[in-house]
Amino acid sequence: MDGQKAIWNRLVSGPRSDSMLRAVMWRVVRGLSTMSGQTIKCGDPRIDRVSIAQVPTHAGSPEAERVGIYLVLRGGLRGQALLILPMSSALHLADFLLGDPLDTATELGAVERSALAEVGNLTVSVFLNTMAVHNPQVPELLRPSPPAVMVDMLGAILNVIVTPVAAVRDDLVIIDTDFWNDQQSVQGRFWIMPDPAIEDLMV
Amino acid sequence: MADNMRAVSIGEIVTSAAAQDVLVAYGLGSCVAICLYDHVTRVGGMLHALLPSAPDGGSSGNGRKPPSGKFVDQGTRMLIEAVLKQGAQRSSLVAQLCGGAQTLSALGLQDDVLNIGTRNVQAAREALYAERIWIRAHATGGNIGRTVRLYIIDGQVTVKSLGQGVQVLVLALDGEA
Repeated sequence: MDGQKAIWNRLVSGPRSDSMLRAVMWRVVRGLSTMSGQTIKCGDPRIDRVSIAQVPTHAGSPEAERVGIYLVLRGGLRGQALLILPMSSALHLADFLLGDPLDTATELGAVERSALAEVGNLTVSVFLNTMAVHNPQVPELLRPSPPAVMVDMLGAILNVIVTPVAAVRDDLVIIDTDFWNDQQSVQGRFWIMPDPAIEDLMV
Repeated sequence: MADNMRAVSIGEIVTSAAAQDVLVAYGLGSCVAICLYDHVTRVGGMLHALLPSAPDGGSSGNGRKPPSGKFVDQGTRMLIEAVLKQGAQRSSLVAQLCGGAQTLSALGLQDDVLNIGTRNVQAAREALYAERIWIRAHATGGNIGRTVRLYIIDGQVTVKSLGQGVQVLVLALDGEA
């Protein structure tokens, strides 16, 4: 755990934290751009320590319909990852991934969900690979879980990330990055959350 | 008289005797909301809990952490104490449950994570049974998120979910025994 704590601390509060985060997220959106055929850009990552009571409102109205793509990070760097998109953006992203004209998808069927799940796989894999490059001392393999695509109220989706945290803490660290394409037809947020069992992350 | 929405966030307990208050828990996934209402004194309260019990099984009075509304078992006892302190009578308290869904379905995750909603509902039932409080109605389980509202003026509970609109869970109680 000490090794993981050092890696996470380096990412969220080390002297090169800002540049490392930007480098990591730049690679993530570059991968997303390649996958979707769109130019995806991202804002500067933000790091927040958020109480679990406030998490449901940290990304907007908890009743808003959202699509969440969720993965658990296991092995040498433990935590959680979540992509959050409005339904319209999820549908547009599915169109791009499937090579269809914009506004072809009107609902998230099995094919669209599968495509979005692959987005989760790609973004998290790029994140972990980049982290491994920056931290060659990582002792274990980095193993993301299979992705889960959820369509629900935002609050219900965020229940998923808060549940494993609440047993050990009353807050969690969120690395929050906005992303969008040039036409703004795809907008979303990419959250990375370190393992809550890591105490005293310096945020 | 305009409704005064009072949000009940994760781990929180809110009680009220003010007629214009509406207690609301937004976007319940695996979380469970327990609503208590006394139809005689028109006092109500809501708990928004996340886990069935604390991981170490601890509770107040044994030197461990203080009780928390994050946990259904501890939170239910705290909710009951709070509504009684607000003026409710134990003999006329009734409960409604909402939430406890399984919104996550994926391979490779621990069963515990996937069943947390069910376990929350079970913990709520057990806690209320132990306190001899009748569960009048419930909107629990499934795989959809819900928002629940408890109207203090008459004890009406409504449930809202995507694609299903707003449904009344409990009709108004007019001094019913």
